[in-house]
Amino acid sequence: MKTFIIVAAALAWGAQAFAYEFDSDIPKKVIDQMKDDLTFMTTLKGDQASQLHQQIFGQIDGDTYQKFFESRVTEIGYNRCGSGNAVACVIPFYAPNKMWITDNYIKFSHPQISRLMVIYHEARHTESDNGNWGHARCPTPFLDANGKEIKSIWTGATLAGEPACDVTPFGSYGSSMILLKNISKFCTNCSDKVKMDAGIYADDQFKRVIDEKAKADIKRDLY
Amino acid sequence: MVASFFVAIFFLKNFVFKNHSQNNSDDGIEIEALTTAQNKSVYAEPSPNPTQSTHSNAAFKTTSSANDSLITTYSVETQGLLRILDQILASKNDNDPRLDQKFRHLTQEMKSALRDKYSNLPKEDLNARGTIALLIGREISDSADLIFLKEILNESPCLSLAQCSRESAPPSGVEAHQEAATEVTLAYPQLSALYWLEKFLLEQDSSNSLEANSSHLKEEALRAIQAAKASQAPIVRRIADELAKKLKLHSHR
Repeated sequence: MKTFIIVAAALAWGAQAFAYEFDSDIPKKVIDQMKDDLTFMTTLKGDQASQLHQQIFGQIDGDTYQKFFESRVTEIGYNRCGSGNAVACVIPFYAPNKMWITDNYIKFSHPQISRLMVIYHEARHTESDNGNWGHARCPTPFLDANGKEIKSIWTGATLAGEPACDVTPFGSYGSSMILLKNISKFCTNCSDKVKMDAGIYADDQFKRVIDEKAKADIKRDLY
Repeated sequence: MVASFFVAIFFLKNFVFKNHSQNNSDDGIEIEALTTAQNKSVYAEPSPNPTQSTHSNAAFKTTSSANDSLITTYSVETQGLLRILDQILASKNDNDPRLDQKFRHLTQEMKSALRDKYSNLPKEDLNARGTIALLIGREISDSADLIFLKEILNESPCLSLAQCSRESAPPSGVEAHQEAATEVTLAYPQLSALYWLEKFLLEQDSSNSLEANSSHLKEEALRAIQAAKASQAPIVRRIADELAKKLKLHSHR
């Protein structure tokens, strides 16, 4: 019996390795950073969680976040993801549970929680049973809460008409902003920086939720 | 023999696998990184122009050994703090507990050193710059702190993650979806500044301080937010505008 316990403990200890596999062509630095970031997620604790967070993830808990990710992503590959600035993507019709990661994961100076927001957003897109939580087209014109058109830093660029919004709190934008806003509000072992960053990025993602009922549900839940 | 085998596995595991958890507090880590011609040592002398930085998208870390030979300006305590910051930034672990434990009750010298470091960082090192905005914004105590945050808010916007001075092609279609975080990161130092200005003002209101200095600082903070409404970065304008409205509402309760 004692031997069994020792073996089980040793196996559990060794099982800190993640459930998904990294393709061999991913640069080691990218893998290391992603592992570090995901390990950080496994350490999180919170003293409460909003209703929507509980529906999507459960409690603010490292094991919960790890299971959420690992039940959706079984492989991680290397791809440009079609965009100069993309950090990660999912190509559901090609490999439903594979996430693709780019050099931008480490190349650009994103805060840690921002990188995690992106990969949790993409993890949601692996859910074939939910239609991969496809995005809605942003409205034209695309207005903020004050009725002003949302402009971007890129000259002439606008999200209006682009497939870059959600009409449900449970899509990729909604779920990742709910994740981050809960971390911002309720994480008990996060630094001021992580909590600040989570709040800043969550608030920005919130504007991508365009359905009035969905917005009202999230406001009631978190704001 | 079986027990020895698993003890060996235990030690091997802890040697091989790094774990950037809340318990990471190794102050003695040497930082190995690249230098660039324009990223001079921040420990040598203060930069006269806090907003001037024309670094390209090459690596933006500093060599610890190069800095060591040039550290003459600051006290041992401040030098130690700067080294800790370098370690944390190099690790990319934003949850390092030292950010909250070590960077409290900053002296004027420490703040001056942080401001100097900020001005010597490449504009593309957005996370590092936003972190310094946090460290000073969290400890606002005089006009110098508010002037620093206001200068951050007045910076010309970073136009692309690779090179702030160069605008990248606007995203569209699938790219628009994938670049959800980009615009926030591009304005991260400014958004960090706004975040702490708001916190400062809310704390001042709740403390109901009647001190003349407090009142003066509050006015300066409010002016900084008002000025940010004219930022060239749309996201900074939008958030400053929302903040100004929110603070006006709060003060009328």
